[in-house]
Amino acid sequence: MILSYKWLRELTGAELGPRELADSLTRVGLNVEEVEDAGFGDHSMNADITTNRPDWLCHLGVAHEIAAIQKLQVRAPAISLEETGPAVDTLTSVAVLPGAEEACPRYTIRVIRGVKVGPSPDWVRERLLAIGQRPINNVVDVTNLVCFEMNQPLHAFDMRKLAGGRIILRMAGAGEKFNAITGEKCVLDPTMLVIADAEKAVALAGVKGGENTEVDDSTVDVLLESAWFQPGSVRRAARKTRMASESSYRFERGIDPGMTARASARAAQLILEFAGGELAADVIDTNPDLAVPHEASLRFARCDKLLGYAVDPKEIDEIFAGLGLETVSRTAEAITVRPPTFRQDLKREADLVEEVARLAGYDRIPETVTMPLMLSHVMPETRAGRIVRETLSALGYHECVTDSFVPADWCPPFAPGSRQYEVRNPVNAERPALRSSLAPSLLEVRRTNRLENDVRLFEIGRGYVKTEAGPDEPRRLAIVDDRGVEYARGAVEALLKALSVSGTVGIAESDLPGYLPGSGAALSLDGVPFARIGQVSPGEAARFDLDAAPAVAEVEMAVISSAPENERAYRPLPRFPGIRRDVSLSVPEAVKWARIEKTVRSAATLLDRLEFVSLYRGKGLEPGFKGMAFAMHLRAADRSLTDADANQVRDAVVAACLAVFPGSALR
Amino acid sequence: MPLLDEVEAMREEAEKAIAGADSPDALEAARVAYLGRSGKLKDFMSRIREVPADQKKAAGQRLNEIKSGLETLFAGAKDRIGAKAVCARPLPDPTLPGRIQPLGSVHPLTQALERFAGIFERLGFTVRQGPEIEDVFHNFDALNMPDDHPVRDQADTFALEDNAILRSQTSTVQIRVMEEHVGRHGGGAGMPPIRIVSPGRTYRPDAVDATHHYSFSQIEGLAVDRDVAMADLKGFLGMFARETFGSGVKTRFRPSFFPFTEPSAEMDVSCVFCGGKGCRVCKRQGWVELGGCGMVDPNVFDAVGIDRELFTGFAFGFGIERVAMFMLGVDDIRRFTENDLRFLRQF
Repeated sequence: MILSYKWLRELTGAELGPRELADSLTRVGLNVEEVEDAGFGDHSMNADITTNRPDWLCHLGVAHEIAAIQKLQVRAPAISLEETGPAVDTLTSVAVLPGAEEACPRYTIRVIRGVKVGPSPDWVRERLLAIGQRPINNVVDVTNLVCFEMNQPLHAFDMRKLAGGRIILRMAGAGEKFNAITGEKCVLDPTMLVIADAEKAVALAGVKGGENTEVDDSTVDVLLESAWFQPGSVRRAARKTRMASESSYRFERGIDPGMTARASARAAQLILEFAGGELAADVIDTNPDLAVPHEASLRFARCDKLLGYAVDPKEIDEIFAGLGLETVSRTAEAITVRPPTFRQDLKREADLVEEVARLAGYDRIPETVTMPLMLSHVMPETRAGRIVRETLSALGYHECVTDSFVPADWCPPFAPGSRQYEVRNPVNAERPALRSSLAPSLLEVRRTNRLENDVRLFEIGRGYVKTEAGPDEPRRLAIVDDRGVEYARGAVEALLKALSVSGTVGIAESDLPGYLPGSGAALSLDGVPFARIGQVSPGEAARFDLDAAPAVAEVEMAVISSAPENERAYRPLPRFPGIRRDVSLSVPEAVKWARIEKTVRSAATLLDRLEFVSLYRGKGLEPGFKGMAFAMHLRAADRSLTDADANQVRDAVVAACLAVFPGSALR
Repeated sequence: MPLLDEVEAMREEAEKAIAGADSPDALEAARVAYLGRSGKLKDFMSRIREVPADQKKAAGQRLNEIKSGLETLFAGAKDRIGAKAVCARPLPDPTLPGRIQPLGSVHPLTQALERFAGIFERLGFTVRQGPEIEDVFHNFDALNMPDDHPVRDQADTFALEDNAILRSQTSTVQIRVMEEHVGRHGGGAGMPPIRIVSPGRTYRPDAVDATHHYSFSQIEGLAVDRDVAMADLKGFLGMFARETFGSGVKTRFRPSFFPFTEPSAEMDVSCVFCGGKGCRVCKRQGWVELGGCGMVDPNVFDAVGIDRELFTGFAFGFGIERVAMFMLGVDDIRRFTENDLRFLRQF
């Protein structure tokens, strides 16, 4: 909304400069963002008007605010009409068809005949230019001027173009076509109110006039519409037809129901003045009593309680009087007021409290904290998120924040079976899907950083999965690690340790379609699956232009956040020293560590800890074989072990391995 | 020559021998010769009876002094010779770069979010999360944003199927937490106070440019108690601003409008770069807008079933990206989701 500084001064007599005026308005909530020289000795003030204050969408409304701040009187333009023509109801009529009453609670018509259409006077043209409007002709300019003065959108019809010379208010027919004055063409539906003549729609109510009845240089008789249309109905029509206008913007916010006839009179007076002609006597008005004043009350004690400081009730009286709120009753405890009809936003006590706070000044509210102490809690997911970030960043991983939207084909290879959501109105048409896996997003980040080596990435975010029970948003941790699957697994295990998770971790070989076959594993905690780890398949690596396929892991944060913590109880330190025995085997390639581990654990007695030492491929081994070395840490609780004890265990383990893995040998 | 003179001569001789020793062997030889079991000092000890009776005590003391003096010298010489032996190996170069496993990083947006959440946690606010896929009730209706009202313009949403939408603000979490709280305690006299902050992602179908993105993060706060006043809101947010931007920062509250608060305010902080004088960062305003806040609208209390007479509350919400961009000097919001390591490593 652009305001003219000169206009506001005329309406108030305020002695402030443009910037001072802008600052004082900003302090009461009318946020003036820019003040510019508009030429013609005027300044334009670009204001951001919040939706609760439609009364500020016109100069008279802002003038009321300035008057309240500066303790001035508004100089509203005086209206005096010379109604020299015949009675208006002998010239035209309005019919509200059944079904249209709700959308149009009030409709007024004035008729001016014999006008001479031409340019407006300079001051009108300058004023319109200062507020960013294009002058058109002396009739249309008046409707615009009055709109920006009184916040009443008006429409002037060329009366001779109206079939039957009269107005019918009806809901549009299904598929009815309408060509707006601005050149847009649209198709209407029965939820939309139209202004029609005997044959056709001549305006989409509150949104746009029709080109068929436009006022132009040949216009002689003018039918002037001033109405109060139902805000929701105007809003729906403007949105459906994508024809939002200055008019619909105002109607949908709610204009002053008491201004309808007054604005019409003001416009008629100016048309007579600028374009001549003869004004028909009286006005057609379907509902002169639409504006019903409402009341609101404020308890002084409640006001003090909400604001946190005591405001003198006498000051509140003055503030309300300045705002034009009429006192209905006043006691020592409370005041009841009747706001002007342009202040439809003042209905409740809280609304009045805000008026007190605004006009007294937000600076007056002290900065005091009197609320009692309260203990905050750290929710398990908050704790887990923090520990994961700390641990992984210390381990060399960089946290990423990526888009929740992805191409529809990205996630299925990493979340098979999860139904994903697609948005109906994506901003980026290539990314309509909400991700069901975080892994592809990190692979994309890997591509962004393709000139880097040894990249380690992670992200904590939501997956979005459609289920029978509704949307599921599992919180997930994704990891990408150039170094390979064992490092990604190591990071996951480090997290369990950092989180003090208790429970037994199980591992099963399990691939996802996005993994290199045979490289995948599923981890579980006490039988509950919580992580998938694998090496990205060549196909997925190629999708993200990666030469080398990194490892990916995806962890269900809910499982590791809510897992019971280890009890931190002291275990006595061992009293007797242990003995270590190392074993190095050559085994066929197909033999995985998990099987060796299982074999060793079942064959070894006195095993305190089993440690994987190394995996070796190359010189000294038969093709198709690999070297696997491990260390057994043996210990007895009640005595020092002897070499003989240890050798016996080692021999039993070696024998078991050789028996279980045919072709294997001791190295 | 009297015994004591002999002793002093021996001391000088021993001191020279210790000082002159330049290897562990030479030093050990000196030690054996003078301090050893049959060394010269021991010998003098046994000859102490030659001294006249009235001087015996003084002579004994002197011998002991010499013994401990020589032992100290010997220990010093041992260190000197030992150090020399170590020095035979090359010295470390203390100016070489340190060796360390490469460190990763926490994303600057998370850092900002955690920093803000952490301040409020210390003030008694509990961090709470809520769903991003929402329904119209939690995203709009309960927040006093009725259908067919222009307040919904500011918050166009991404639409999913079955009337589900992506939340356009984290205020939805306020509603969910209050509903849960009322479900547990009722919304009347027995209800304990609420103090939460909810950081998270929000979505609005805006075109992407240097300062806009369709996905962004907010942190939202809510306090509900028997006597919460706007002065408390200013108090808490004032503490937050000073903890975040430094004790010298000034705050300013301007009247504004949000459907879910009344009275409502925009909170500005004085520009930390120019101290409020006006510069490029604050667009010569001297102030930077931090976010919106206000007293919980009674309609919101009605929607969740909290007694609007007994309880009052305040709420606030900030956009994380905007504040982080301001604090870190980041000039393009897209940097945050691009995740270029050269960017991430800076934080």
